[in-house]
Amino acid sequence: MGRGLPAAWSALFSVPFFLVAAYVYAGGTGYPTILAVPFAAFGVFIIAIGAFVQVVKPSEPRLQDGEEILEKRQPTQRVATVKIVIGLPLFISTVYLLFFTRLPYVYPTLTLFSGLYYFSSGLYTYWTNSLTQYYITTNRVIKEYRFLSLIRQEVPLSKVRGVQERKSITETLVGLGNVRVASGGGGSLEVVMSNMENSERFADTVRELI
Amino acid sequence: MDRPTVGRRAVLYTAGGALALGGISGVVGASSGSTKEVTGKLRAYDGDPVAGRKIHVGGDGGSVYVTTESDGRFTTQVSGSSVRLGLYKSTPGQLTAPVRNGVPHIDEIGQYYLDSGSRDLGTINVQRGYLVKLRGLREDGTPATDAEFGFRADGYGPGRNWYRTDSEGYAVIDGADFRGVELAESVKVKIGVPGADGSVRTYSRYINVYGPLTITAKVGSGITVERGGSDVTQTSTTTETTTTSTTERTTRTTEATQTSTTEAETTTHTTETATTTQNRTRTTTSASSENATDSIEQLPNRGFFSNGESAGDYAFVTNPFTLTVGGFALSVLGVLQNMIRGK
Repeated sequence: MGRGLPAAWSALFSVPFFLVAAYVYAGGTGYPTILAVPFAAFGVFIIAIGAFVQVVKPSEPRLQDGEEILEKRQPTQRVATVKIVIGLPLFISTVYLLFFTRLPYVYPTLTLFSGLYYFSSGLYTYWTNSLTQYYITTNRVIKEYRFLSLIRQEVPLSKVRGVQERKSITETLVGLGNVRVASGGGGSLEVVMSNMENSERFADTVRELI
Repeated sequence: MDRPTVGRRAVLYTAGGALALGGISGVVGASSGSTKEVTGKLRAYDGDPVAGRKIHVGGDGGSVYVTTESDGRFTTQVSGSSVRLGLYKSTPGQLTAPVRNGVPHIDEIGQYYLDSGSRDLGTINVQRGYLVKLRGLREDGTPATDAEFGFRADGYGPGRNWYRTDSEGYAVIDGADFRGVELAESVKVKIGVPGADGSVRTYSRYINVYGPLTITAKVGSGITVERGGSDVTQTSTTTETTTTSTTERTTRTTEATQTSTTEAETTTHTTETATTTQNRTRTTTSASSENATDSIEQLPNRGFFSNGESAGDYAFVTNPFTLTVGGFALSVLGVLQNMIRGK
């Protein structure tokens, strides 16, 4: 099962969309009631994906003889939270500009698209983080992600040629970082572990093993 | 590998259960077939009752028309769990009435869910309708007097025989002394214009009506929407002297006095005098004049980049439904693509 309560949180995230749909359907805006459909449909989409994420889980990696898991990490949800928090006011602005003013449509369109960009970006960050697991074993660095299919990336420690630490602007603001472990053999053998708390310690653990 | 088989099954079971529940509730809903009385009262934007008009009553048990009484009240019997009402501004013999009074010719009143008993919907305000002129032009800009016109609002619309096409290519309701129809908010307009090769090009577009509009379909150019400044249009009863020579160019001034009345308001609407100067190469027996007087207060049309005169530009993105569906669809596709790729 996915970490945390993605079904419950997703249901909560969908509430604003259902509220707007109900308001439009009740005729509060004066617009045709069919305008409620896209809002309600997006709310249903959020709930459905949240429920799916709730029941899917990343699987444990199969270990080789004598291999042990030294550290197991999951990305934190702070970046997702920030994006969603930025997106919501923009979405509320859209509702205000669209239904309560007669400003040209370009203004609610801009806030709608920018709000949806942040909100959706936050949502998928939240969901992908719920489905992602990082492992350091005595032999490998592994990143595992499962949504509809399993994506498992790993770099054998014996082939690691570099460990890189990065912090995006958003990660810096919320005290997170990401670690890239590369084999030097091309991009296919690079594992990027993002939205990590104490990324320095995780990187040091890898360095000590190579 | 530890595959989350149980988890996926749970999802499938949940989806199946939801479908089953939906089916059961649908059956239950459909089986609640006792007849219920639904009443209500239609009021126009100006407070007047919408009297003598047809209401299309659609429900689980089929559909019927009822006619509003003199005070706008209607009563109908329906079976099922919901009823959908649509207004047709009609006369006893004509579904699209040749009447201009600010009530839209077609309007969805709404869908209402019913409990077990009768329901009084109370007073329902019908939104303000604005005059929308529909016109067809051929490739060379000449009026298409055989153009075909249609419009639908939330699925409601008249048949094909509601109009005639005047000499300028405009749709005119049978028996009307004005061009166009009164519409409100989101409407799908369809105009078919025969081209030079005889084949009919059909153009359709969703239009938001928050003020008078002129919608023109021209073969090869498509539909253009202009905010219609002339809200009163009629064929004047001009008396004129016919010149026998067809090559003679005649310039003259015609004075016409015309009166426009609306049916619901029994008082005279406007009385005006128009002066028209016409250049003619052939003598004709009729002339048209338009004036830009609109005696009814109107809000500026809401456009994409600006309101008012240029609001008709980019009409396809001035529909909130289009905008929101586009935005949400992009979001859903973006989220799914990134989640499936595991970015």
